[in-house]
Amino acid sequence: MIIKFLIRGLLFLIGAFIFQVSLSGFSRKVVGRIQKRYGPVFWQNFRDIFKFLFKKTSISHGFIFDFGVLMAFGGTMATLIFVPFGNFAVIPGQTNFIVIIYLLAIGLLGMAMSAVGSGNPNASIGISRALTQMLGYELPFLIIALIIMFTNQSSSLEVLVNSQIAGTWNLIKMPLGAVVAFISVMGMLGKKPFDSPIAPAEIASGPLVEYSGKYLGILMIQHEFATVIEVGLFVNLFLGGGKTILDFMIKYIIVYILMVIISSFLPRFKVEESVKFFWKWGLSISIIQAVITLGFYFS
Amino acid sequence: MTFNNLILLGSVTSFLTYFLSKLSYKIGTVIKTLFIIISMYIIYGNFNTPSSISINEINLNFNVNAFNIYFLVLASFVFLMTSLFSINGIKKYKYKNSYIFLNLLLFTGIIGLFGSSDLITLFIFWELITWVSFFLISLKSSLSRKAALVYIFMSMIGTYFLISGIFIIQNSIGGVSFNLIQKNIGLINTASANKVIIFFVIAAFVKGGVYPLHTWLRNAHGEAPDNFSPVLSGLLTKMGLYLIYFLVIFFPFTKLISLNIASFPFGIIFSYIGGISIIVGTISAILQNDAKKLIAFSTVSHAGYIVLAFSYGTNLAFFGSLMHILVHAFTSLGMFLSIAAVKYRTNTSKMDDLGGLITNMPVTFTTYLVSIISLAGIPPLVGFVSKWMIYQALIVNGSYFLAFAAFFGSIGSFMYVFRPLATVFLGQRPKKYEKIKEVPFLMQLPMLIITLLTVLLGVLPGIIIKPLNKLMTHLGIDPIESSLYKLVTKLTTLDMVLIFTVFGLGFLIALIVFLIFAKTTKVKQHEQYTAGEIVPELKTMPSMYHYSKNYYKPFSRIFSIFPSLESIYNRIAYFTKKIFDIFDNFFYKETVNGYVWIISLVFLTLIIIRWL
Amino acid sequence: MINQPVIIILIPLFFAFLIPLISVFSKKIIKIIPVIAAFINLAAIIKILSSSSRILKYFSISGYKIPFGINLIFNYQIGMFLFAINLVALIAFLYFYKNEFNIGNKIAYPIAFTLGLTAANGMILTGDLFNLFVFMELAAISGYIISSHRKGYYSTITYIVITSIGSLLFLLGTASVYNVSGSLSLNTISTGLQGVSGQFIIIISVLFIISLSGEAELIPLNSWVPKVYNKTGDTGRIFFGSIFSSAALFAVIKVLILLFQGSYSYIYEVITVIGLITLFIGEVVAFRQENIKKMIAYSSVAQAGLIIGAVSMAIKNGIINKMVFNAAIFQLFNNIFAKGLILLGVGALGAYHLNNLKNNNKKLLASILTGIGVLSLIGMPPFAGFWSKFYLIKALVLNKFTFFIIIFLFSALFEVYYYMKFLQKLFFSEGNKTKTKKDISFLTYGMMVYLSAIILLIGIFPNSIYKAISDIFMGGIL
Repeated sequence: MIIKFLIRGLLFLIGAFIFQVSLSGFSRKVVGRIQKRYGPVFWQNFRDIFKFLFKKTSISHGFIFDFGVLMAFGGTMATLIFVPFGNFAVIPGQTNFIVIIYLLAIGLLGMAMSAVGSGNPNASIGISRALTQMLGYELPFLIIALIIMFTNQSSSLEVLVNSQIAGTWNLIKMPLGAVVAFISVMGMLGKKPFDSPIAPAEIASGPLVEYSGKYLGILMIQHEFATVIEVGLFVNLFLGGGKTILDFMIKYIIVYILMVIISSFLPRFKVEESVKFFWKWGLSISIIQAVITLGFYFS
Repeated sequence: MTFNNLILLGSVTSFLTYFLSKLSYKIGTVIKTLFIIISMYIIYGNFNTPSSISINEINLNFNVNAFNIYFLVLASFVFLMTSLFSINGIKKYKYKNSYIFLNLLLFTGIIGLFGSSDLITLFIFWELITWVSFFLISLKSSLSRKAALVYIFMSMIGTYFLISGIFIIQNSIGGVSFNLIQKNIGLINTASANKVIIFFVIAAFVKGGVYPLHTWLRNAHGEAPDNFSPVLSGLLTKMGLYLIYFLVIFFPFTKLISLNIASFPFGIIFSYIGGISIIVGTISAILQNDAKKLIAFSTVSHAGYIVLAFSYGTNLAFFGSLMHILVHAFTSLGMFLSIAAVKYRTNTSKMDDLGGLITNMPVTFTTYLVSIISLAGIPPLVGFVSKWMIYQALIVNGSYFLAFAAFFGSIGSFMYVFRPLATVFLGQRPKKYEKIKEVPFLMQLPMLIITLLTVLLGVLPGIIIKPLNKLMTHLGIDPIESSLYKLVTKLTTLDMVLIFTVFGLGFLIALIVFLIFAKTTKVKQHEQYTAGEIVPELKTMPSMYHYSKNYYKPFSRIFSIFPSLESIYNRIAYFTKKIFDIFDNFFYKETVNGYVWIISLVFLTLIIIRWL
Repeated sequence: MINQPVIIILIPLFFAFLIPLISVFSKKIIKIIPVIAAFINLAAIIKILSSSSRILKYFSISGYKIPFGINLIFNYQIGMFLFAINLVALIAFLYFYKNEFNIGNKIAYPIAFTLGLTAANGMILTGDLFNLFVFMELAAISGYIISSHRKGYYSTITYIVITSIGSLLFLLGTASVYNVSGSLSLNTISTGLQGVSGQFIIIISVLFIISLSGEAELIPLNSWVPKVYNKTGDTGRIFFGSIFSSAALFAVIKVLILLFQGSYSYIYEVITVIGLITLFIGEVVAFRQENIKKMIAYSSVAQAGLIIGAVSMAIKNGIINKMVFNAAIFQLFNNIFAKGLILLGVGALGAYHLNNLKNNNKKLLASILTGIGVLSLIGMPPFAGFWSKFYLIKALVLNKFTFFIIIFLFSALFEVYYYMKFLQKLFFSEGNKTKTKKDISFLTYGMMVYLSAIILLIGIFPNSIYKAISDIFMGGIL
């Protein structure tokens, strides 16, 4: 039993890795075309990751530096196990939304500890911005998610997906909520205009400044897994998941490419501006959506 | 030994420890610790045996039933941990004897309060605890004395409301013993019931630190002696919230929430007040610069959680609030004890001046880390269980504002608890703290115990769910489904062991991936990426490169325009003082002129009355 | 003769007149005479208490029948009050003997103190209006001398002016009453006042209220209180704070109840208002003080206002509400001990100003004992004041006197605040050094311990004391 789940989990992880890394490589080609150039080959990200992993030297700033990276990577992989991918779920029945949101926090906490433990002030600034921004984008997202969970009386993602397949997609039932969630997921991914925590030219990549060699490789893999989780959440909640894995992948690709395209021509928010943006527009629209949906539900 | 004798023994022992501490303070603290252990045993043995102290027709009645044994055990545990910690922790205190004496007296008072079986006994111990804790807070510094004055002023407001409420109950029902009230609750009419609820709740909110009566918490908890802050925050605030639970006993559960009683929607109002308290507490905590004041505001937001969950009305939410009391006591203990350990070695708790202490104090760091993970409600620790229950209860009924407040508290708490971690334990270490050591073993012991318990109760929550279910049945509320490691609600079922295992496996895979590849080179903390510049200060003055001051400055810019409730209260206080000065000048002038005025007025009055 | 309560007045009077005689022979023995007087008086009280009843009885002196001669009222409860007052007087005289005898004129001050004791006893015992006037004058005169103990001449002048006005008004009132009702004895005046026009009642009530408020520290004639408390000596403060104010307050209550016999409810409403105003203003002005002596003075004023307000709240349409009345009397009784202890402690420690308390943490025991007095006054368990406040709040809530409770508890908040601030400064002060004060003698410690023990005992056995002093005016009213 346990072996079966273990094998399913490992297969899923490897599959998600291959899928996402090639997709993110492909998105680099899309961005390149927008900027009127060819862009790198679509397997470029594989080359980058493996180059970092196989580097002969890397530095470490102490125990917490290593431990945090492991916690981030392990936590993200653990979270990924709980996300349903089309009709495939590693452990059927264990796909709870709140658990996913919280385990994501472990990943962030691990990386935050490790980054700050490196001792570089740029990393600390990046983390403080990341945490501040988290307060911004999580709140509207969670309100919308709550409405969805309430109207379906369940917080298991499989149930939510099945109810959408049987009925209509939540994208159509709650369009305002979908827009808010879309922007929140862009915030979660750290894509422009919400990439102030990373801010490449401003704070020397923020949290990632002291990572090199296998650390950087591991963190890149972790970032890709986190992307799978977050965009996967959006697809599951609003686009009805997928009847099959292929169905899910197509929707995922569309959403992801759309996000990449939007972020490729936007500048960067200051971190307090992004929090204010999320609170002003995100919260108000999500509350309007909540009122409308609850009004329909109760009548 | 019966409960009433325990109380008497406690008072006598506290006097004894005062005199014994004059020989050596270690004797005093050890005796105190032993007394607490013995009393835990006695409390357990006195389950359901009422006893009383009767002097001169004053009866102090005690009883340990399924409801207050939870609070009693929690109180003894918190005191035991701080007592163990203080065996070494009070080495540098100025008033050691008084501290030990007052602490033991406070313990006796709290046991008496939680174990009382009628309202007058509760009130007597309530007042005793108020003035003893006042003196305990005053022991430290002139700042703590000012804070203690504000504390006792607001506390007395609560006390006077409490006593008025108690007498209204006595008037309507004819007695104040809990059994009597439970039986005859129908005798009270709605107007008096309204008054009693409001009065008790005001007293509870002042003591528990719920918005808008929370302004004393920041300074009182922040400036109190370091070994006493965990007790203040983890336990004395629960004293207030214990009072709210009486509203369940007095006004049976469904009645409080449905609109039958008093035709006034108390449940909804209190849950919204709880929600606002969560939001205000979280935001204020993020804006603080001192570690202890930050934890004090986190107490405000957690008191908001408890009130919100309690007043919400479903049995799941009620369970969540009960469990949250335990969770908050643990996290408060963990955080305050680690900050106290840091202060013991470095003599400061200002986050701006510290840094990089993880290499020197790993045990302290671990305790702090586990406590904050539990506080933020991340599985698989015990904090997740209570927050989970509360969220489920809110989502099942679709209350989006309250769920928003609860989420806000959880995510915001991540922000403010991370700050001491980053600024105190990680980052660059100032030169003067290079050689400090970890705290002595007796101070590490309580920290280790708390860490262990946090993890254990998180992975196997059934250990605590079963007794709490018994408590709820005793109160007449439906228990929730439980098993050793599964959490069951209407929306879903969670398997905590599964989550823990998956997380463990994930960590294992990460470790394997990590170890497969090349070995790393360890570098010193001062070797950093500096974009090609040579920065000599990194080696000589590393604290210059430690990002700790104004950690959340961008966030605080959002709130610079909001007035704080504290400044409003301060302005009212200032205004009242000016009016009182006017009274002083008017009635008690230094010269005799005023009396001529008064005398003339008197004669004028007489003449008017006589000839009209 | 020995069993008559009049002896309680005569003993200190006798000793007071003995002092000038003895001063011819030896000045040193004068020190001990007030102590002896108070001690013998105390013994007499105990003897009389053991054989007294709880019903109010009128005792006439030298055979003149009521209502022609002077008469006194006495019962067990009044005896308890006399016991308390004479006990505190004994303690004050012992303090005087040890510490303050050498200040000022060695003959005048002992006489003044002993006469003051006489006057206090007399104010409590008397049952006759003109007799009350005499004792008030006696109290005022001894008060003039006592208040100038440490050259506080300006405050004495203020005191003289105010109490003279009071006495004048009192005399006017007494004369009018005698004119109309033909008698001066408290129990027969009320029958004589039947059928008199309402305006007349108002006039005499105003006269009496204002005149009695002078000595009892109520508004409007209490401006002397902070000045006198500030400038007099330590023993004088104990006298004013504990003995005179309580005796005068008792006399006021006596007049209110026995004179008007509970009718004319508008009088009682006015007195309640005066009491509440005094309470509120006393507490809020005390809240702003830095001078400890003035702080205690204003607190004394506020307590007086509270007690009078509560007593007059208890009387409606001729019926005394027993719960409220007994609680207020209990509060008065506890205040005698609490204020005595606080003033003794403040005097012994030399703690006169909030910023000058630096070296007091060396005298920890004395500070703790003073702290016990303070905690009892503000009503903290397990001390005596807790129970009196408890019974008072219980009585007020059960009878639904909402407005009174709001003002009372609101003022009590400030009282707790400033007294606790005082205790903090006393225990942990970092101010300037105190003026050098001699060490506290063993005798003073003994007295403070004794008073603390009494307060603790009352706190542990409140019901016995409460029952012992309840229903004072049972026999004499309705």
